[in-house]
Amino acid sequence: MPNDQPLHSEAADFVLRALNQSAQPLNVTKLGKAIPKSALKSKKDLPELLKQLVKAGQIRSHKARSSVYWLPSLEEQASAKILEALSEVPLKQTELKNKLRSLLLGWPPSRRDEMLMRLIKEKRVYKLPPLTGKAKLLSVHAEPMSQDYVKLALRLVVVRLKPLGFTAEQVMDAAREALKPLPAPPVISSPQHDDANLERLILERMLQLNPSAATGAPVQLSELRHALRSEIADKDIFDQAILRLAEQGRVAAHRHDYVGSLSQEERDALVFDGRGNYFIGITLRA
Amino acid sequence: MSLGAIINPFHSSVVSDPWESPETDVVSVHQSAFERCCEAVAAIRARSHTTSALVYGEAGSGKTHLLARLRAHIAREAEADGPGGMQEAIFVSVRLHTSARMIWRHLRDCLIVDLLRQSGAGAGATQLERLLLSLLNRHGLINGDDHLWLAQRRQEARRDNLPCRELEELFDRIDSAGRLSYNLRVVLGHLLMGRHRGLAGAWLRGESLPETALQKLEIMPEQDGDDELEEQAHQLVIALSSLATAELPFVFCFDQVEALQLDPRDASGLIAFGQMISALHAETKHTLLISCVQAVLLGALKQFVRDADLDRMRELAGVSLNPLTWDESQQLIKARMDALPELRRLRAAHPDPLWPLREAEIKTVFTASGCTARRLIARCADLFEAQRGGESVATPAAPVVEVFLNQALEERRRKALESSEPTQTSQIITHGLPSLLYLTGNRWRQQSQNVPVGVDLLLESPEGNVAIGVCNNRPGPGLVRKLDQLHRLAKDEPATKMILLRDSRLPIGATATKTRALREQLLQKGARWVEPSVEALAALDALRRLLSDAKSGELDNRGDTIELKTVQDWLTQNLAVELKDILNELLPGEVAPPPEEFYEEIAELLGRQHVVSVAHVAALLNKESDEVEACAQRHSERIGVLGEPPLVLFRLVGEGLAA
Repeated sequence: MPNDQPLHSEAADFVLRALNQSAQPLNVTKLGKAIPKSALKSKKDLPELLKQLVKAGQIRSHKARSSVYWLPSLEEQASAKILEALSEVPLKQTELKNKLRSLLLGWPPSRRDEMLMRLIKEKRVYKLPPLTGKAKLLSVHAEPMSQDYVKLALRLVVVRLKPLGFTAEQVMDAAREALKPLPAPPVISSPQHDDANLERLILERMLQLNPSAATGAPVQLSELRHALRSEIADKDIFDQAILRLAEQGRVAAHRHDYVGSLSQEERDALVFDGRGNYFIGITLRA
Repeated sequence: MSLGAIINPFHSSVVSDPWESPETDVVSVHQSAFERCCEAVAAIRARSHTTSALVYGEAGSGKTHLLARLRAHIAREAEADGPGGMQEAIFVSVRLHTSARMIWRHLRDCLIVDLLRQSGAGAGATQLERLLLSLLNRHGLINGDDHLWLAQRRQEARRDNLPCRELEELFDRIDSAGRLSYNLRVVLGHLLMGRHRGLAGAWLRGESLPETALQKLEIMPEQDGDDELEEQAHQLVIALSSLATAELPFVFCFDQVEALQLDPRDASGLIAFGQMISALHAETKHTLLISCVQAVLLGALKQFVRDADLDRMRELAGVSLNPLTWDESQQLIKARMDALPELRRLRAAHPDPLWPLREAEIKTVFTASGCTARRLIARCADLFEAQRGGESVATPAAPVVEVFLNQALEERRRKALESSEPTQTSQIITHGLPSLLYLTGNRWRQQSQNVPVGVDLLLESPEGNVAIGVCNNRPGPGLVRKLDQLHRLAKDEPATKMILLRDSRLPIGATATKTRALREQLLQKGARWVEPSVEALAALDALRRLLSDAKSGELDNRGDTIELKTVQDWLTQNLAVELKDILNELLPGEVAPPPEEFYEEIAELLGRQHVVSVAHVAALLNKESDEVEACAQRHSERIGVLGEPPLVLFRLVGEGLAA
């Protein structure tokens, strides 16, 4: 029985040393080259040696047409690289996977996915609402960070405007100019906000939800309400803040024209002014 | 002069068609949105790619006004630039009252209608003529004045019936991608030379023409299966758009996007629209795609349209038309009133800048955010009217919604009758029938996935699936193929009830033996043959257009936008008798009489000759005169009879058609 065969201790040491020195998993061919002929009777014994090391928990493997092997400690290094990839800015899963192809060389794709899943399970990576599209963002932060979304938005704008001949510098200058009038984000310490703080919070969250809001694109009030649910749980407080912003001329609120066809739940997601008008979206006024 | 003698400056509310010229245009209103659109036009002139903008706004906010202002601005710019400079863009207005399955055919139809529309500096020239002349000029194929050259060429063409060699040379030079098919080149040549305009236009719009017409146009017949027709429409739109240049770009304005949705859960129309925008984006150049939607639709767009398609839709800009502020409103009010010299003179004597109106009364229609242009103008119209009568009103008289809806529906029914053509039937059925069924209790639900080939509408009813095939093709291979597909479905899925719809103006003659045989086989398998009358189709067309207008917030009853639900409820309670007839023919359990082949033969004959004596019909169809008379009496709603006993038969047309 193969299990009963003694371990080639010298050969095993060479395997472990080779894996220890490698920054990526190694296949049988590479490991074979790392073992001197004197340490192993025959190259044909190597697969059996590796099998025993895997069984003993000293190394790990991924079986495929060309199996690869690594030390358990390498997985932690790989996990650190995944976290590092997400440290700058949150990424969509497909974007992260593309990045990991070059960061985690030699790792089978399914293993890379498993490591990512484990990080999510261990709550070291979090899923956050996307800036655009439906796919969630992966982030090292548990809560959405406004600066992350702004960075993403600016990157997106740079990419979109490149075909039109705008440089990244021009876009950044324009963004700085557009954001100048906006006040600094408020520090939220308790649910008891004053009006000015609430309004600032709303304006800031509008831009997080849709960076194009800075140039007049609308934001759905139901989305905005949802995004602010932890800060402004009370419907009336939210509605009143929106109406104040509209009265001040800082935002334009757009009326829903056929509320008659909406359910009560759908109406509750809108902003009501108490005079029969329901509002569905808002835009920043220039 | 007193106020009583002056016309109400707020009488006309807002622009309802981008081809209209705005009566009063206050530049500062929606200036930012307008500037974004102008930037978009500049972008497609500067670079060869296509780009797009998405314009949001509530009903009556001025989306159509913005498009009209943009069109007028482009025209003014071109005029100022003079000959040899920047030219007026080709402008195409598309109101999307259509279904997902026919969206390219609808776009093709709108494109051709607008290309054949007279517009621009060239006196009497169509947009298509401007486009072709511009290209000929750009390639140095015209010497001297374009219009003189065209007049001379047309004279020669009429005399010698020769193709335009300069146009052929142009197409060879510019069409390296082979997008302009032989047929399209020939038809464009006819239109430029002013030959066979009616037939050439009909072919461009995708109408199914008889062989004699194709021979006259010297073009080849094309396949007319459903899938081919949609693909042909797609290819034709792309081919014509490929003629756009930096000097003469294309601007497509999509309006009434809301009408693509049967109900808030219906995704198919919006998905198809997103895909169409992406295709236009990828396959055209120097083209601007402006989509106008109500702010209400934003959620559905995000929910149903693919992210990539939505990104294409708003590539260059997402623009909002905000409610007017009080400052903007004052400017608009004053501009309207000062546009009338008599009123301006009267107003000069009053210190109040809004005289004869009062701020407090106007502001009653304002919300915290302001007021839409439509509501503002309607309010001012009422207040001005009251002031003319020497009295002030706090609240304008409540409009009678039922009367308004009745008039609106009747107006649309009349227009539908006037412009009724068999080629529109598929569009009316596929877009209108689901709406009609939705109104009548929502028991039938349209399925948009896994629709069998040959089926135009697949409906899920409590009694099982109902497949509707619109068999409107001209008798020939396309119709045979369609019936064959439906026949296979009847065999494979016997539980599916099948309804075959055909325009009553398209009789299947005795020579179409294979078509008749296949139809007979389908009828034996339980399929129903339904021929809606012209009046029923007009009623259905009016219904779908009214609902489309309601969905896009365009039903304006003196400033009040009539809610969709109000319209739906009213339509349900006031369903036209013709529509009830259609429903009766579709509902399971009713026994539909089989089509009478003898009647079809008479109808086909009358389609060609219009007025024929009974004796002549009997001789031609090898029947007795009394058999002909009896058949005509059985179908008295479609065959006219003169004389007693009947001597002459004639083709009966609807009231609107006869007008």
